Amino acid sequence: MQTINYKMEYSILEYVFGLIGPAIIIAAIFYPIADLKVGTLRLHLPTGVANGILMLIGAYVTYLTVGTLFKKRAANSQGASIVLDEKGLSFTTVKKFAGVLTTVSYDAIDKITITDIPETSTSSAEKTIEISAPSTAFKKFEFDAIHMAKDSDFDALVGALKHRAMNAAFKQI
Amino acid sequence: MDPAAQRALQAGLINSEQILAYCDSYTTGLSHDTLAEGLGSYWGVSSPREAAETLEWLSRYGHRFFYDIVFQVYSDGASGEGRQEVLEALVASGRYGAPEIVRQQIAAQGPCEEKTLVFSALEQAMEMLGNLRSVFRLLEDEVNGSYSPKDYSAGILAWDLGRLVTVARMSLDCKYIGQDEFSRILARVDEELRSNFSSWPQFAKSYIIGRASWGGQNMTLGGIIGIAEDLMADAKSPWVLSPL
Repeated sequence: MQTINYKMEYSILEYVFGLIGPAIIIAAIFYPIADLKVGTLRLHLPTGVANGILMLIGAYVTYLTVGTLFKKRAANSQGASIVLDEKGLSFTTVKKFAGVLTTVSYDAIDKITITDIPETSTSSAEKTIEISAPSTAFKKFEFDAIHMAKDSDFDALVGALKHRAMNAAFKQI
Repeated sequence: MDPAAQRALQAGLINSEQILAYCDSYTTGLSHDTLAEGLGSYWGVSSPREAAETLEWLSRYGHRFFYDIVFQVYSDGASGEGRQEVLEALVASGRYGAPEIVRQQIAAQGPCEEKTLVFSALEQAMEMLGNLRSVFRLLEDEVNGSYSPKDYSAGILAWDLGRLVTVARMSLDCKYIGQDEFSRILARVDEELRSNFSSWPQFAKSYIIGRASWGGQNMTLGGIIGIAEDLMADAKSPWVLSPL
């Protein structure tokens, strides 16, 4: 059995962006807006509707940003690791903001796509492994090297899948 | 040309297409300068003695000697880089002397010829292991589709046989070997072909896995796979006209 740490880290930027939605809502509450303008078009909205629209936008942005934080928390909730044993691999999938420990048999995997794009002067490196298992609930799942502790963990996962997922077709991008 | 010699020549077709040599005669049809450049720069062959050594090496060991070792280490899932396992397998092969003596020489301080040879071989084998790791289960062609783990475990004999035929033809053109020696090589290639391969597509897989394990994934590999696909699928290809 082999265990690979797979933990999603929180960034300061995510917390900062998480404040944007509530800020929009607070602004919409305390600063009444008479109307909205799109380019040269004035919408002539009834009183309060513009603030309502802004509040909805604020609520949606809050849902997106806070939702991402909760999804990360859920992804880390079941040990934050990928466990490889003789028959399959176990990892955490996220269902409605809850972490679900999922085990997939190697035989159920029908396609594996490895993306390994080195860093360039204009873009950052991209290293992912997407497994496709149509008979499972999640169908597809992507592992990103960015959530692994070491570069060698990515190679170890690729190596293990190459040796054990006998029914899978491999593709490298 | 007898059928056995013709089959053996066809084993070198991917390589001969790559260097733009004739595909249906003993002579390559290449100019003297091209032959001298090809044999000299790429194979280090510029005399009958060097030609004999290279042909003997391809015939006896080739790259399959390293491949069989690194494939075993890779399949066993060696923890870490696998360097120690490869080194031990090289020593145990007996190619560099009696294993016990070579182990003592490696452990001893100071240089010696066997030690240098083993560590030089280790570097080549480690490069091949790195290439094998990167191409394993990723190779495919239009005729065979994706190569299975079984294809990789079958080895890379075709890669060595194909190159053996081409180097022998070039050496014959340069008069480094005589017709008798050339015929002996073709007979050996034919024997290996009939014992180890049941079709040209199977041969092509072994050749491509060998090329990829030696040189890794690059643009040239794509070109070689393209040549093999044409040889397997083109209606006028010798492989299609004379199935193995």
